[in-house]
Amino acid sequence: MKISCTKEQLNHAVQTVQKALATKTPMPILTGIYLSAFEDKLELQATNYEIGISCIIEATIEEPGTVVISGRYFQELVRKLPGEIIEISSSAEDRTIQITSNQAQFNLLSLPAEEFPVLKKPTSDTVINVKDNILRELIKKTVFACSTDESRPIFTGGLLEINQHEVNMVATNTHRLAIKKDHLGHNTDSIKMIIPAKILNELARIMISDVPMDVTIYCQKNQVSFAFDNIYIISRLIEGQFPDYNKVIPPSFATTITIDTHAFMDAVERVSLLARDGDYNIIKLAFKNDCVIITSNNPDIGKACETVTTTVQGNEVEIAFNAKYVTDILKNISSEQLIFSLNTPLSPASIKPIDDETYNYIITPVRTN
Amino acid sequence: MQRWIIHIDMDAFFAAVEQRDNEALRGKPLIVGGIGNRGVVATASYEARRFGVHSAMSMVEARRRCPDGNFVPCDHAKYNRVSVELQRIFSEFSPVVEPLSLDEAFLDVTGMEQLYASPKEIAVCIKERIESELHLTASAGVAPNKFLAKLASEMKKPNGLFVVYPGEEEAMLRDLPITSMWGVGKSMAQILKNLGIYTIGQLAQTNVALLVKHCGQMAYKIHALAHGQDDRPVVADLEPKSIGNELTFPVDIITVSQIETELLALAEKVGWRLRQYDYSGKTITIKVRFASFKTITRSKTLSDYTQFDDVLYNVAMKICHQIPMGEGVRLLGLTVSNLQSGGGQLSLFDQQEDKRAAMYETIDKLRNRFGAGIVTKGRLINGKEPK
Repeated sequence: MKISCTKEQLNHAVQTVQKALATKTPMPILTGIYLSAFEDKLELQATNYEIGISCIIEATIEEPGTVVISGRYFQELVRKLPGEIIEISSSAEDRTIQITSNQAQFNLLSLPAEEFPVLKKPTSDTVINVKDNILRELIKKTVFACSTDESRPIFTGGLLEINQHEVNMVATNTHRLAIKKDHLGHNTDSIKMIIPAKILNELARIMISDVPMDVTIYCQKNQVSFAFDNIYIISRLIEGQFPDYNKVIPPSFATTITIDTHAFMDAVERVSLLARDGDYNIIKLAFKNDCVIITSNNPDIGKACETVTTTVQGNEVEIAFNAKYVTDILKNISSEQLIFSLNTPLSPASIKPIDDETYNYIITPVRTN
Repeated sequence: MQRWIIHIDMDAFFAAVEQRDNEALRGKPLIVGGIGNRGVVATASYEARRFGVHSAMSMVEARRRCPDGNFVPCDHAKYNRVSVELQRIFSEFSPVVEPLSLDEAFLDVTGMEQLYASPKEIAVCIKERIESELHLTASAGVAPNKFLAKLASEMKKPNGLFVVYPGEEEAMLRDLPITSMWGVGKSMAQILKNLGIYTIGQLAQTNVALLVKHCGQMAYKIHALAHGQDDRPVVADLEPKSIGNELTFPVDIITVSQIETELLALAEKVGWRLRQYDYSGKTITIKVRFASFKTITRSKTLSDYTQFDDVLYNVAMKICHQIPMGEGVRLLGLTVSNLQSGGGQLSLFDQQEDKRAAMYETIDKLRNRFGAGIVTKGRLINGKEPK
């Protein structure tokens, strides 16, 4: 193989696929990036069997061929190479790969290309197109709510649901649930699948176009592929039945407040400073007639209390939450005001932006005596 | 400002409470503890101590040494009630009270010179209040720090009062054995003895560098203590790290069914205590001591916090099923750690959770009103009541 390409494009491609590199693996080949040169194109691939990413860039091909190169070193050196143009060539005799740019030259040992599990360009009977800005919004507004506890795998992924022209994404760790809905503008097949949170976050990171573009979703039996631009990502799906999330959305509320998002978020963040460290830190909210009083009490450190004025409609109620579950959603609400609705100190509450029925967040309280 | 700490320690607490409430026991050797042959002495009255009976001694040995003594089982509920009264008295003298156990506490009385004639005066008042309201006696130690206050309360037991004034620290400590120091256990004492150090005075005279070589970082602490220096604060509201119970059986238990029953009883007890103190925990540890005294502990960490008996029981069972039970079991223990205050985080999908919480709330209400035995698992009824 002998090729040349721009540093900019190569660096973009390497940064795109590197998230699929295996770090701890008994199979060294999975720590490598696969390079395939053909017809004025250079394709880079990486996979760890959970996620696979391919990115194709333009290149001048003098001699087609394939090589696999250590991902860790290739990634770092490409970023630091001095010139605009990078030349890569391989030598079959001593199994090395030569990388040249301006006066810099590297000779890296290659990994056996024939062992690399090459990703196949996705095909499927069920193909759905979604605009990338919609998909990105769905992911960013929900996936943070996923669980990291691997003992219950279905909660470590986001549920993607497409039904006719509606698209929903739902994520939960069983204590809080985020749901975001959108429209496709056209009718498509129905699908329902749970995609690992890691892969969704990666997808959102890679989709960075300025103008909305189509992402093609290929649904297969136990995997899903997203293709857009010069990239495709293949992911395994999480098997299992996602619980019926509609059941956990309370049909009505006894207390509802409309509150300034920023004022509320700032107050909650301040009071949370004294909440206990670790994965569990409670703040208490007292919904009074004309205000919300936020308090925290850490016996080892001290107490905090802040009042935010607002109008409370319905019953007065006192309730305790995990502070992180509250701040997580507040960061994701972009409207100036939000609606906080509750029933009792022991039943789930809802937080959502004002005048927006497509986004909702359900949060369970913490029991206190 | 000169710090002043008071350490109050009740005299033979369990025994004194029993003697107070039962005239027939007064002035006689009384041993409170596990009555069975495998029991251990919790407290011996001063009359019994003359026969060489002391706490933590096996009951068999106690009976041998004091055959004519009166032997009474522990009534923890009663001691708890007295302890609550005691804490109430303490809290009237200082806002900073650190309870060490049911019958022992540190009070920080620094800066109260305007309110009382002297720190000694405060200790006298506390002792009087305890005597007049609870009809019990206490020993008090008054000193510039915790270490000295605790030693001081031991000096004139029972019904004693001892004050260590600033400047007297080293003189007071000089001839005491090193084992009376905090942080000096069996192994540390042996190391020090090998260095020819037997008394606190000798320890104070020893070069710190030499101590560090033999005892590691602890050396700085014990050397400072030996000079009577201790800056540990009195900490009120100390948070518990774990809540647990263990039980030594009168006869080794053998069958799986017996083990299950005992685990159920432990789970009910620990769950009850968690809810009473309003904590929930994530890590469940099981301790098993076999007939041969071989002791093992195994633990499991859950994904969610719990304070419910049935969750504790199910996890305990899972852990126990993985422990090879080759011989009889002498002791079982169940401890919950990784605690947080408050109940657990509610679940969105587990509808059982709400019902369960309501059920335990009802059970706890019943128990608080009618006593612990009013509602329990059918399996535990054979004359055994959760305490």
